[in-house]
Amino acid sequence: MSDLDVLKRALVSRGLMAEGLPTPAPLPSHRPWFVSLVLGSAGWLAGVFGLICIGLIFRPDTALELTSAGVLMLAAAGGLYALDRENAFFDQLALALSIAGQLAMTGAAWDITNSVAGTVALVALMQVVLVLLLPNRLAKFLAAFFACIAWAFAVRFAWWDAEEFSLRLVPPALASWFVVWIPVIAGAHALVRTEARWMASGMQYLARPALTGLLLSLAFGTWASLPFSSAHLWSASVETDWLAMWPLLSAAAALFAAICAFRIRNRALIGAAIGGALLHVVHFYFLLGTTLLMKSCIMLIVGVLLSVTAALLSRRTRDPSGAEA
Amino acid sequence: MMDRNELDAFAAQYKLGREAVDAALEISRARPTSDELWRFAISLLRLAGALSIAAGIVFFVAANWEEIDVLARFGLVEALLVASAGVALWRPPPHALGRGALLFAFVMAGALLALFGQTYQTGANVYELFLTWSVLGLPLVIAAQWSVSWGAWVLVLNVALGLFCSLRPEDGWFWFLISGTRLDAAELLLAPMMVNLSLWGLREYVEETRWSAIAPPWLGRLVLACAVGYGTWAGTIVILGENGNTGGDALALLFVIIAFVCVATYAIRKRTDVFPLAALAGSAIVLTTTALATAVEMDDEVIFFLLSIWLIASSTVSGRLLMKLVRLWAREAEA
Repeated sequence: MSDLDVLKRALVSRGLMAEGLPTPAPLPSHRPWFVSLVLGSAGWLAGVFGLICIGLIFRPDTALELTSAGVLMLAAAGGLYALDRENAFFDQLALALSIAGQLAMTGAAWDITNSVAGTVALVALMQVVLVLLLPNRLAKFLAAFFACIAWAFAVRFAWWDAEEFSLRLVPPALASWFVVWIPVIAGAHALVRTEARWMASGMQYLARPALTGLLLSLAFGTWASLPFSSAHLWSASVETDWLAMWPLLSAAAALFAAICAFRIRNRALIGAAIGGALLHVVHFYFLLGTTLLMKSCIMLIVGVLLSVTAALLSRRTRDPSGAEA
Repeated sequence: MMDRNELDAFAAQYKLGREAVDAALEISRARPTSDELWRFAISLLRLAGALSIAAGIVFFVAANWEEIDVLARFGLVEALLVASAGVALWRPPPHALGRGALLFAFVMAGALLALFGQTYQTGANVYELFLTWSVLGLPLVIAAQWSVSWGAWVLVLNVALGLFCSLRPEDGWFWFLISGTRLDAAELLLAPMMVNLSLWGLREYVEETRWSAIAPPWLGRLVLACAVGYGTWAGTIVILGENGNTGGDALALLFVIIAFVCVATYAIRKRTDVFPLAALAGSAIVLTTTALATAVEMDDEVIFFLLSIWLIASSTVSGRLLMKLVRLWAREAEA
């Protein structure tokens, strides 16, 4: 007897499901994350190559031409997705067309606004629309992930334009981090908390990939909010400032994503979030802005605080065995 | 425990109400209890705390603070190493404290080696530090009996091998082992590929023993991904002809293909995990796309069109085959 049969029987015995319901068609097997990774990467690259090809042939250089090409390709992608959701070739072709269409629309947005902030804001808006409209889980997840990245870029460029961060900008830079990522954190938390509600209302096709996109953006996307000065890893002329602490904020966001991932029992996402947190700590090591000695003290203090918190919580929850979760 | 996507489809097909979905999540153990959530959060905090303290010590060694003399620095790191070993003896693995202490000791072993190189200016390459760290830290990792420690060890080893292959320092004890063989870049990459494949084979063996808990599937996937990565790197070098297409290149590519075929054959015979085949499919897509881009001599627009179509076609075929196996092996496992 399969797990689904066991579950069905248990629900029937509790009176939560009618007995003798016709067995529906076999459930489509879920696509493992690594298969999605292979397909997504290939589709993304195919989209980039496809756009280059179209660019070389038609040479669209005005906003109207780029918008026309973008809308056409996105419409074609949507059509292919809707045409046959079980056809792998159409899925991949649609993904490539969708990526090419999005890149063309990004070019058009740049042509219209001639500003980085305006472009990324329009891209964020486009990604949100794509999350709602595209009928494919992988495409929805990618759109949700890129929506968060574009949103982070939009806030930073709208706030500071392309000016480099410096010591005097720490308070607004910190504020912008919270403006960008608190809504994402709140969104992820809300989606996890209300999971049963949206599953019952048939919204899982939308909420599940959106949640995955939000959690992955919390693990890795926070780099989009990093100060430009953080890119000067080996420059000797960088001022000393507290922006060097930035990656630790990102590491905290990644650990929050790990906890959310555990709440939905997604091991791949837990691994990705922990990997993201480690990468942020490595980035912290290489960042200039403060001395290694200061960073050492910060890490020691953080480590002691985390360990003490773990010990206190452990005592509170009576976990004398020390057994692993 | 049921997969979330299965539950999504189940809830949609039977149009379950809120109460029924809640019950389904509870019955299938898809939603952790508050006790499980607390234990996970505590484990995560413990791990993050231990690693943060270890990172703090590593940063301290790297800072090379002159206010503390050399003896005191060595004393500090050695004292921490001994203390963590002591904690591990007091609460030996599989107790969480013992495991954490041995992971901490493993990091301290690396810090001690770095301090040694920094103090005595040994002239050792960075790869040597990581390689020596992985060798000397191995007993601690074995004693920890913990997959997380093994994951850290695999990372350290692969940083060493990656640095060695990318920088080709022609120095150090690893170079001494192969210096007489005149290996070029592609041939050299076969060594880390084989090291990782051997580790993968070892994990497959351990999985069948009573030690299977310390070698979970994710660890095997990690080393296999590293192996396939090195093999793909070697194959790309050969296809791009960066070494001038020597006879050794052809042999290196042949060796990679044979190794990958062996991995695929094993995975198909075992019929449990599709990951090895997905990794190989990804590698095949990269290698064939590179070959196509190199071989076709046409206008740019034609090349990009062909590459785009090839990527779509090859990934479609890979996806179909992989999903077919996912379904088939899942059915077999249920039956």
